[in-house]
Amino acid sequence: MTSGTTVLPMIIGTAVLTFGIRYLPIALLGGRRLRPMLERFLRYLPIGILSGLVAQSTFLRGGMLNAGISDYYLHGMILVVLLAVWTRNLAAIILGGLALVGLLTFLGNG
Amino acid sequence: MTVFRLLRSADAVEGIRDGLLFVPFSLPLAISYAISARIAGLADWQIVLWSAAIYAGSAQLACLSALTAGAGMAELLIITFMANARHGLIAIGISPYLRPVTRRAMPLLGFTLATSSAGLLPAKAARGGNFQVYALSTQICQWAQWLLFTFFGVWLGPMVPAAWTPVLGFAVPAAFLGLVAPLIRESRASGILAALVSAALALGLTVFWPPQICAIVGAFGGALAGILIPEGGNHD
Repeated sequence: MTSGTTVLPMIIGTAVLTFGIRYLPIALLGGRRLRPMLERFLRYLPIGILSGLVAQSTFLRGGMLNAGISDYYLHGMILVVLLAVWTRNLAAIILGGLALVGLLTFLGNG
Repeated sequence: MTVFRLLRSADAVEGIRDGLLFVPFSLPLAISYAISARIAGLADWQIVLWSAAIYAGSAQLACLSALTAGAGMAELLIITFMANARHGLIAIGISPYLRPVTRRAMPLLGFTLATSSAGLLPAKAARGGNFQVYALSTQICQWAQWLLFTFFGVWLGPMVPAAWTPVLGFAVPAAFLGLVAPLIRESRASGILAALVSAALALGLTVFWPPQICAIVGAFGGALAGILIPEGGNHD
């Protein structure tokens, strides 16, 4: 259990730090003309960040690799990739994946 | 009155619409956070205040588990830094697109920055339109969702069946993949290479390092791999 004297400094400290992490790069780099190679690198950075997170949130459970063929997330991810190729609709991608994983989970538990 | 006029603009409506797509993403995370925070002993108002002030689900969850284990302020700040370091990278990654954003709007854009910004903002820059109105409306919409769902989570969390948790958790990879797909499509061969290298590093390095570090190393490795292919090599 935590006390109010611990929690309020934690809220303020983590909020200030988080704002600094997000705002400083924008304040320092936002809107500036950068070297073309650096600008190219920065344009690939979002792809790198999101792809790494896709891989980790699909295949890691509790920090351990879990990539078995029986894993519902793997089946859901195959459908999500197909939906992403066929449609540009983000809602269809998210809801289609959720529907398949939900169906497989409840059929598997039933 | 200006705010209301802006909210009715096509770019604001587009931003709010895109922001609402993340309901399946933020709802389960906010409920998980609210339940964990109650277990850690936070008061209801502290749970909601923290969400409003920090807007960083993964950092909040990581701090709660450390707080329950007796972590001090220094450890909590290190955990926050580690969990949020990717937002620093995202801020760096979107900086080339921020030329239309005024200096006054930058702090609000920074405060409401989310992982989804890495996909939504470059895609909007490619589509055209009022970038600043779109960016602020989509990010504020997602921040408001996070706050609202935290509030719901405080009251409704205990009623969500445990069997739904892994299903709702799939919204996370599905949303990230939906966001990265148009970026890869736009940059073709180099985008595919960047995605594959970063995914392989983010997963493979977990044998040696914590996942947060691997995601950051993977992002850098992927972006470096992307620039190896000359831009002319991106054509079909």
